[in-house]
Amino acid sequence: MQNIIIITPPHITLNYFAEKLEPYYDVEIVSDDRIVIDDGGMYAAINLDDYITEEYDEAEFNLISGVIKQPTFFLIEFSHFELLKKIIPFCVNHPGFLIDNDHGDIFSGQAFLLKLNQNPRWDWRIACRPPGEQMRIKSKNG
Amino acid sequence: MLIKVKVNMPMHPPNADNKQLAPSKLPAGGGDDGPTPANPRRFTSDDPLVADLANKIEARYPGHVVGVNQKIRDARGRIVTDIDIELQNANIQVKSGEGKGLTRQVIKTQAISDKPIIAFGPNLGRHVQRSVARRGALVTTDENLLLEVIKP
Repeated sequence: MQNIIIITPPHITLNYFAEKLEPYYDVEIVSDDRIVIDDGGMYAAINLDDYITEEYDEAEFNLISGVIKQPTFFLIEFSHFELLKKIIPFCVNHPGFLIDNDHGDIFSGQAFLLKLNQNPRWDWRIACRPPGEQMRIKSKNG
Repeated sequence: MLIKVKVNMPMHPPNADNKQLAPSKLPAGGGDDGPTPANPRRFTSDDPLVADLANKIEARYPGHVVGVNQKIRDARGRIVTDIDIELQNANIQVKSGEGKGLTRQVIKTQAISDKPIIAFGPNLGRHVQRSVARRGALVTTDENLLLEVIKP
C-alpha cells in the first residue's frame, strides 16, 4: 500500500487528525493507533506507527530529531493518490510538522503544501533520491 | 538473502475489492478457458508499480495472481490493511519508495494470512529491509529474483 509519513511533536495524537478531517470526510476511529477515512471507494488510514523508527537510518533520524525533539510518527496509507492530495492539507498545515514522502525528501508541512499548491499535479512517486545522496529537510524558504 | 519457498496453499478466490480486468478478447472459437500465455489477465492499480509487477507475474505464470490491492477487513468490516498482490502461494507488499511503513504492514499481514509475505521495492532502504526480515518476511529489491522465487 502507498504511504507517506507525518512527523509531529510528541503531544500530537490521532485525535488531532480525526478532528481536522471529520467535518469533511467519513472518519472512523478503528483503534488507539488507527483511523480510517472513507471517500466513496477510496480510503486512507492514519496509523500511529512505532516501528518506523527502526526503518530510518541514524543520520536521517538525527536530522529529524534536530527539528522535532522526541518525534512521533504517523503513517498515512492511501488507496488512491487523489485522496491523499485531498486530505493532506488538513493534516500537515502546522508549523511544527514534517512530512516524509518516502521518496527521498522530508519537508516542513508548510513547504510541502506550498509545493503542492504551486503544482497540483506533483507526483513524488515517480522519482526517488539517488542512492548515496543525503536526505535534507526542505523548508518553505528552500 | 532471499530463499525459495514452495508452499502448497488452498486457492483464495478474488474478493469484490479485487481490481482486475477481465480479458478483453477471448480465444477464437472458444469460451473463456481462463488465462493463457497468449491472453493473460491484466490488472490495474492506482499504484503503478503494483499494476506493473502483477501484470509481469501474470504474463509469466498465468493464473498465479489472485488479485491486487486486496482489502483485508476485521470482524466488524473495518479495513485493517491491504495486500498489494495476492498470489496462489504468497502475498507481496510493494513499495515504490524507500519502504518506510513496511514493517507495520508486514506485521498486520502476518496476522491475517498464513501465506508467506514478500516485501518488494526497487528502492528499499537498508534499515527497512533489515526490519522486515527480522519479522520473518522475505524481502528483496531484485525483481528478477522475486519472479523466480514466486514460481508456482
